[in-house]
Amino acid sequence: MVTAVFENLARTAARAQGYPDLRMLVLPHPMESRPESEVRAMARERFAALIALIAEEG
Amino acid sequence: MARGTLLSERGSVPDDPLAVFEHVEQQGWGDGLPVIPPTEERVQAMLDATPLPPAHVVAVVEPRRGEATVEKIAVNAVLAGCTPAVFPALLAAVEAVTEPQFNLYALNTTTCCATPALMLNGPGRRTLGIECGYSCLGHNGRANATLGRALRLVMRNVGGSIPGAVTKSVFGQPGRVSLCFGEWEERSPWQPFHVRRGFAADDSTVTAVCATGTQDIADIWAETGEELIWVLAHSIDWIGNNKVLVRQEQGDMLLLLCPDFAHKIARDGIDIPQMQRMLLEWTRTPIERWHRAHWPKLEQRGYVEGNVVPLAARPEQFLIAVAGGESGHHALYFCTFGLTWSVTKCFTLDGTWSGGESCPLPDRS
Repeated sequence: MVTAVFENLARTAARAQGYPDLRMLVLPHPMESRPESEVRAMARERFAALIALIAEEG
Repeated sequence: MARGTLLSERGSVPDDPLAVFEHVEQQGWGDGLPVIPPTEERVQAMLDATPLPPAHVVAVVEPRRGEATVEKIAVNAVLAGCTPAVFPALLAAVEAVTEPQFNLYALNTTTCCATPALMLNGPGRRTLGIECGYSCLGHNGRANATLGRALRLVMRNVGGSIPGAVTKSVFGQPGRVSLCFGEWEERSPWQPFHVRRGFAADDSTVTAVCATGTQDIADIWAETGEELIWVLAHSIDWIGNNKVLVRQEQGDMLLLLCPDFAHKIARDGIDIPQMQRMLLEWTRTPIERWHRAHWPKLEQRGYVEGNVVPLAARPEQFLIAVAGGESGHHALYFCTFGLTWSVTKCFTLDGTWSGGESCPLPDRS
């Protein structure tokens, strides 16, 4: 998981480590200034997508 | 004498300084300042300063994990305007910042403005013309400006430290163009910094320290060394200090004293270990300095002892060196972003140097 402004950095780092096709779940940015209730809601909304991403073949 | 076949791709641009400058900028290889064209002849001249072959990999540079070969470093050294004499110091600097303890990945990707600051010690300073006195941290001296700049270009062109795309530093800072100076050992009342790190006085070394900037500390009132250290301590214990964001035992930070300050402190019989202990004690900041809403956050992280938040855990985390002009009244604080330790590497200038001895390094934590 990565927030939007760090996506290109994460993809650069993944390529450098030999994982050019690393699957990522991109979250809105910034995270730390949001109320906890909003972050929890965001987590609930994306949980299924995260599991699907992890379970994806290949 | 050619050291070997160069592997870099050759390019051709009109024989005009402006055309070269514009080409380098269009390719994204530069820092916005004019460059010296890295012709094969100039790169070979740089390689003559080391016995290492051009293809030798000095280090892997994060975050792109690019291989910093001697040749690639030489190309960037030419671009930056280095003389060949400086090249061994640059190789040592690349070795220093790529030690895991320095944590270059974090420096090159953080939102903070942190950058390596290079401090040279030993006879190599004088041979290379590294400025240690007046304005040594900026606008004084080709060796200072080009050595620091070359390291930054290596981080950019080999390590992929591209602003916005990879480097998330919100502001950057002027020191991200170049930040390099020498300790003025001859005007210090104490042993040179590299000797205190275990090197011989006649060793030449380069130390890489993380710096979020150079914060000026001015004083004209302190009559004793103790008063002066009080001023220093309470000028570096501000709550927005990036060091506060990490555990107290992590990272080290440099305090650079002008000769006048150093002699005022030494005159009163205060040696460096004692000064470090005083700094440790006097940078324990009352929690009341933070907004009440932040107290539980500091406590959750284990940053609070009683009712104070220490800046550091051990005296040795305060690095102390001497530089700057004789006019006095100022010190500089190089705040660290925290997750990094300074690294010192040895080099020689006789063309035989092929890799640097390192200072003892802490466990990574």
